[in-house]
Amino acid sequence: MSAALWVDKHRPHELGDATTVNARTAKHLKLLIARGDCPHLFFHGPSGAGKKTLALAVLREIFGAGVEKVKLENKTWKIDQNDRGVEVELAMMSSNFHCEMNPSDCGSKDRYVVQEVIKEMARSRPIDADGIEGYKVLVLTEVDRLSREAQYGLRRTMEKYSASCRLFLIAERPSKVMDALQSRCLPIRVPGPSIEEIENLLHEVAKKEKLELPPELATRVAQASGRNMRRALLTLETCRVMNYPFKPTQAVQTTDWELYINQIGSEILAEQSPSRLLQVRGRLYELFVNCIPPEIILTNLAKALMKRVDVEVKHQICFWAAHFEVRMQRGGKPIMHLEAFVAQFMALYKSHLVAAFG
Amino acid sequence: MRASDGATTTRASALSSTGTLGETHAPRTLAECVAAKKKVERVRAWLAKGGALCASGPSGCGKASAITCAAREFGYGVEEYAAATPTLWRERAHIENGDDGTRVEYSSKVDEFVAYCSRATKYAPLALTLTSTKTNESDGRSGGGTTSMMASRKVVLLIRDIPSSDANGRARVLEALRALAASRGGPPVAVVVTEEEERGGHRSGRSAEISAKDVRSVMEKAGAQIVDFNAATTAAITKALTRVCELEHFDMSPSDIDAIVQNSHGDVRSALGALEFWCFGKNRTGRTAPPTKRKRGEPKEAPSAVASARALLSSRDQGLGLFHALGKFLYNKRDTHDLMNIAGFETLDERLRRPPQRYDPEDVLARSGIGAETAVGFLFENFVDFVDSRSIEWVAAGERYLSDAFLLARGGVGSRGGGMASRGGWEDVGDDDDAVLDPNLVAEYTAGSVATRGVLFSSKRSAAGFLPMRGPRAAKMERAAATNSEEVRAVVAAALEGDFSVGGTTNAVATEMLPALRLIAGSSALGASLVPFLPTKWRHPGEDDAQFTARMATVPEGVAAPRPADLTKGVAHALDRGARGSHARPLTLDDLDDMEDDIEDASGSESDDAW
Repeated sequence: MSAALWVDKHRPHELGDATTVNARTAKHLKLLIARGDCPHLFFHGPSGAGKKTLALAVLREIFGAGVEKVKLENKTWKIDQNDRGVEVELAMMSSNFHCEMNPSDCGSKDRYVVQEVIKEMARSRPIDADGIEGYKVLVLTEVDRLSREAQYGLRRTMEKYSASCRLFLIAERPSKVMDALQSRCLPIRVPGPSIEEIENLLHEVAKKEKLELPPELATRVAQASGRNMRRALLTLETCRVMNYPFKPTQAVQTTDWELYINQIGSEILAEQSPSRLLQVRGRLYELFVNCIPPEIILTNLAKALMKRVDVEVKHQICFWAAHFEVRMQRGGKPIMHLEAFVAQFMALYKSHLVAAFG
Repeated sequence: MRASDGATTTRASALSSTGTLGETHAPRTLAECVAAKKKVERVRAWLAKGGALCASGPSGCGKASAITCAAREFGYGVEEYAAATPTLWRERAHIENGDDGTRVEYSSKVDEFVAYCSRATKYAPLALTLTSTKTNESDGRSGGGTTSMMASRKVVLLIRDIPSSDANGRARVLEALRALAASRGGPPVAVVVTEEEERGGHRSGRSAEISAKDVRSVMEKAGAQIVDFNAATTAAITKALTRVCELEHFDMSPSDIDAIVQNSHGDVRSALGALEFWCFGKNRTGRTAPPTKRKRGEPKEAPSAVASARALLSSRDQGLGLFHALGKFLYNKRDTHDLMNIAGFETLDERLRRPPQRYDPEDVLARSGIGAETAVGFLFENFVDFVDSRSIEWVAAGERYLSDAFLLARGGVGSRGGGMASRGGWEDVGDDDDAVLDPNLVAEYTAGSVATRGVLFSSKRSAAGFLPMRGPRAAKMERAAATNSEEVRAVVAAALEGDFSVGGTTNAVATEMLPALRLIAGSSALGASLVPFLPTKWRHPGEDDAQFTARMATVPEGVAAPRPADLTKGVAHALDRGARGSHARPLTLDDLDDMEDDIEDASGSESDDAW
């Protein structure tokens, strides 16, 4: 039984299908492919904006339906390095025409993977009916999480094998991808869809699923999604399985970890002391272990705190949140920087309270 | 006078002949042992019962002596494993080309050790006394006769030299030890391991080396007796030294002996060495020093400064233990008297005023050999406990310093492969003016300074007395998170029919997909049918590896989402993305039958529209 989640089921597979969101971008991409060749592409935009969907649709536009026959492989790369061999394992999806992978999953060994995979792909070029050698496409996700070395390696191999291999890079934050890489690609910005676009999308999906969607609920789901299509569709589906027929006033679920962060925020506001700080540390660890990325914790926590403090303190929260976020990017154990932020806020807030109320 | 005793006369002449004091005056009875009574009793209990024993403890606390003495008391002989001189590879290569007569089989130290252990458990009585049985065997006696005769001579096996090797050899050695501990019926076996001091950044570099802890845990699991010796007490060492002085007719005042004892760090061997060094070439008094017994309650005569300095000269170089060093930072003792004499102290801003600290933080770090990263980790974990509950602003300041320090430390070690913060590195700084300093080393050095001085500056000690210290948890949490994120991806991939790459980035998967999947699966039967798996191989914070594996063992097969690695074992997992989604084939009647229970409105004609 094909009971796919809506977010997967209603994904546009062809560029022509993308009518609700990113329609203009899709049209331009279609024209680009129609000219025969395709440069390296660099899709960037926030989470849930449709970067991967567009990239896969472009692939289908170039190679036809055959590109959707993919198989999942767990590939082991053996790399000879001076004196010792390095073995890297990475899961990848591949078809006859392309392969997609997330090299940042192998941590600091990512540089071996990006070089080896391109070399290997360059060796086996597909030949079309006329005997003309074509190219393969390598889709790399989360390029912004690649190490510096890997990005350098990518740059070199990209030039060397550009005749036989095209790269589709996908990243959330272009600022973390080095300029040299960006300039070798055609950048395609995939902005987060507007709230209205998401509302339209929700209605469209509801129509396809034969559901009655009250406009009020659609608006609320769209607003709760934070301009993220994936989240909007998942939330709608959650609402569907929880309660159907829909009620306009139906509760829209937020995620458990967001509630948890809000709770941490109230705890911090309730008491500022070293023992409370230790308690918060335990909670932060809990979030880490549940795979919530530290940057997101920091952002959400700062937002949760900002909702409930005076204006003077807000400026300072922004300042310190930014300060420690930079720290986190530059290295070290994220818990240390996160907790430093919490401690800093506690100190600020306490002195503010003392100044205001004596 | 005990000089008339035969054994004592030979010992008294020891200095003039060969052997150190430690060797010639090794304890001969259990009463003479420096080890604690309780531990000695446990050694005796082991020997009475037989089997295997693992004795661990710091160096020079009398582990081996206790075993030897106990063996003597029970009338056992001691067979110590002596590692054979290893065959040098180059030598072997040279000889191998020679005639058949000179050919030498190569065997590594690990091979020999493993062979020795298996011999010990298999043919215990024969093989161990091979040298002495040789004549008997050549007499043509039957094997059985020899065995019975040899069994009458009881032997304790003593293993003190455990070969170190690479990871592979390490596993073999540990396995041999395990078999040794598990075997019954052989002679009693004692494995003596020396516990190294715990030093922060040191262990990572030599992970293949077998530590006392490994041996101990392996043997404990296999059912061996475990005796953990503590460092010898001051009283025990004093007693031993006095005994030796008496026997050797050294003229030593009790306070001088105290000086040596105080600087011996609980190591009898080193104390005896110091004594020997001190008394070397001095005139013997010829008379035994009168045993000046201190009366109870009478204050001890403090050793003079000269004596202490002299004792320090010949004592073992002692680093600072990890916890000792951290305690110095966290307890933050300062000199509070004579503050008036410090120029300008009163003119400082009161909030920033600190009495002078007792220790030089850089010096403490250097002596303890903790890498900056380790130091920051430990300080971060424990620092908050040590701050007064009202001064949150100083906690904030301290954490800011630690965050700075960690950044520096990471910048320092990251490019060198991590964990290279060695003690050598600390000592190299500033040694050689001409040499170009490795910038990473400077970062490491600075990080240590910033962290320790930052903590010292901002910790206003609370009144609480002793506080327990915790090890850093961050690394453990990271490992748990890594395991969990693998599970998350597997679960999401399974929900998307095995397609691991359309679920979004790892972040999106954890923050958006998984919570939604949980909600969908938990709400109704329809939801549960949409989500094939929920995370089961889930690690909780604070759970260690062993607990996790134990819990996972109870999870039945097939409940957990298959990992990409599992999917591709044997047959590659293939799927057609085009076959699903909004332009998928219309549902067949069979599909609809399945769905009818859940979806009331669905019917064949309507689902065509979804095409």
